[in-house]
Amino acid sequence: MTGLSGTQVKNAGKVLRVWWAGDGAAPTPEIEAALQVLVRYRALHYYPLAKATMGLRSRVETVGARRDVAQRLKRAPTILSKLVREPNMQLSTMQDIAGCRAVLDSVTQLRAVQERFKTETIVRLDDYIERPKASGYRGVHLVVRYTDRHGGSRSVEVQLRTGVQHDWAVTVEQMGGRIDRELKSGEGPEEVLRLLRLASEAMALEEKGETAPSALRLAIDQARLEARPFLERGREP
Amino acid sequence: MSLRHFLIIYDHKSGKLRAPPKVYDDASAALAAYSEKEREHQSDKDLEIVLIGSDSLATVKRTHANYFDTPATSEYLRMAE
Repeated sequence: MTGLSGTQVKNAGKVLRVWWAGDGAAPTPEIEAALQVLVRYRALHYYPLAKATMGLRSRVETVGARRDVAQRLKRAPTILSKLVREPNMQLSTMQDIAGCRAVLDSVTQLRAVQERFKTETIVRLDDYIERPKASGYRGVHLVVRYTDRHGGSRSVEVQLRTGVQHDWAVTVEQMGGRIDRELKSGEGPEEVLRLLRLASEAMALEEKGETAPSALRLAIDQARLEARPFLERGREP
Repeated sequence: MSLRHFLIIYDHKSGKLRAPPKVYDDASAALAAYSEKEREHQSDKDLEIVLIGSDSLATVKRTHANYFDTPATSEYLRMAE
């Protein structure tokens, strides 16, 4: 694979994990070299990702949905933080370096798109609609294998969300950014996490055409009051 | 399908993009610019640099609304601001 061996990638990940978990020291030449490996390894995912995105878009069109499809290569700092957060994770086996996303109108439409992935090599399926994450995250994630330009096989994470699920996730990203905490990974003040969890529950009920019970609505109002001071505090200077 | 690349530099301190997204039609140029910007701002934890590919900026504004100052649409998540 273009002069990058699996061992090289794995070793770069090990070195970078220690560096990123440390006290913010300037990168040594060894770290610089490892960062280069990371960037080259990420770039190897570009063609498989573009293929996946095209495939996703054509499936979205087939079911008659609006074409809200986009792709991204994971940011280097996010890759590094994930290595630190998950000590058993290897850089060489990380499955979401490449990711694409579709925002659909309804759960029915989302399931129709999901169904059309049966022709692909799916190596992982996380149904966070049936079983939402502890954070309240909902959506469906598929890890699909696509070949790169050199015959290697790369994982691409395909995220399917409804507009309602997406709204929730976007807000979590925004709030997390505002207070500099990985709220989507369950890190942060419990007051804020509780608000997000409860709101997700109410939003999912309403998306199904049901009414959120008044006890839930009251709990959300209370959670919002308790979360507000944390959200207003902003980032550490 | 045409795929355009948008290099986004988002400043968490101000809650805004630093500049309008830079657009690349060429993938290798986009990838090179992405890692270069990441490197340049390596120590700045308030900047979020990301490369997004899509058919148009209008789509990116929906799929990656968190970078575009979109207020929460759900009443449950709207905070008094």
